[in-house]
Amino acid sequence: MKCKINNINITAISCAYPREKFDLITLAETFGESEVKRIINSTGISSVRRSKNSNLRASDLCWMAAEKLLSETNIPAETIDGIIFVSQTPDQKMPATSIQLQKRLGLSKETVTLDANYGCSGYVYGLYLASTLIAGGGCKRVILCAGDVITPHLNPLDKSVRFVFGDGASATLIEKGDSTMSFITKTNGEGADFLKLENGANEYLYMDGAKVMEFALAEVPLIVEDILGYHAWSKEEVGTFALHQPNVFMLNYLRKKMKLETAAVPIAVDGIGNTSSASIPMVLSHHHAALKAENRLKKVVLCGFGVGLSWGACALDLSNTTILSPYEYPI
Amino acid sequence: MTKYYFLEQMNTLLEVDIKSLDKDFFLENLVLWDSLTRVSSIALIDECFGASISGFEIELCKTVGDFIKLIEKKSGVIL
Repeated sequence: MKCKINNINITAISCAYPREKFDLITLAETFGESEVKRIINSTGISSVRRSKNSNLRASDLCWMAAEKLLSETNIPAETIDGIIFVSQTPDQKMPATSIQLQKRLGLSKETVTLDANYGCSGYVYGLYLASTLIAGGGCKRVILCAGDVITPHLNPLDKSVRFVFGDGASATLIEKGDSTMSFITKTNGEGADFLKLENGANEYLYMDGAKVMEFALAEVPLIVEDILGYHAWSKEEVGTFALHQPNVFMLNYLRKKMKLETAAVPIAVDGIGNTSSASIPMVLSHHHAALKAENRLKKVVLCGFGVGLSWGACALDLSNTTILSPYEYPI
Repeated sequence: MTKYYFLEQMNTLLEVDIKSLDKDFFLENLVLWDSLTRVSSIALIDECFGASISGFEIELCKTVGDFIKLIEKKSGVIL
């Protein structure tokens, strides 16, 4: 899918993650110190946000991010008429978590509520959905909530996931504006087994890291090139490439492969972890002050990639967007 | 230069001097020959030689000789 949506703007972005940091070196008891150090050295992730509260839900973090977003921008909750929840860890199978959020945020009964099951590509997919709700004329202000609380689904003995993933969520306010956003999304169900969380007694996240990495290294440079051509930007004029944040190693590798300058590819994964659909807003949230100061938000490319397999890219202007620093949950 | 950098990085990944190993040495007998090292190798080969090697191709390598032969074939560089 490839399309441009006109008269659209991202008004604000906010993120939230658990207050607790989990130091991965403590896993030396399970996996041995030299192995843990080797993995930390390879991924560039030494700690992640991981709640000790087994009752924490993705909606808790989304609620906090959305609540802060509304209060900091002085936007009344009753003016929101759409909410999209993108996650792989909904609160329950039914009803939809977006409906829970409608109630918890005090949104009107006229609100359109949608859940979408996506992971690391989910932020781009969510932005596309939100933008089409507005472009279609049905909604004026949509909140995109994207994120996961993945901790309960991490097998304590599985190194491929335990050293990488963290809990986190985001809220993004999309409304009518004067800018144009370009979108490209792609899907390949052939890779469905590379990253999955099946129903059943053993509900642990499975990841074939090598296959996922191979996919990302092959497809991300292509879709980034594609979105640049579609939006008629050269890579030199783009201030920020906000890529999904799987680990430091992969991001540095992609940056080198695409021949992008270091400052144009911000990284925020150490101390947080891979927060799936929240990782793109998370990196913007972490570096917003520097990105703004360096005038890097006028031309921005987003790129998410992962479970599905699915991947997507978006070209947009964030220079008029209020981006808040991440909040810790609970306050 | 690139060749030496590559070999140095591979030695760091495997914690062994790969050139000192017999070509018939089985990769599976290397303690650190796991998915993390294989993924890092794919990236390293691409970075050093601009050659794309798939995870499947690496999985087909049984010995050090197979692995070196694959890299030489894809990169055109004699290690």
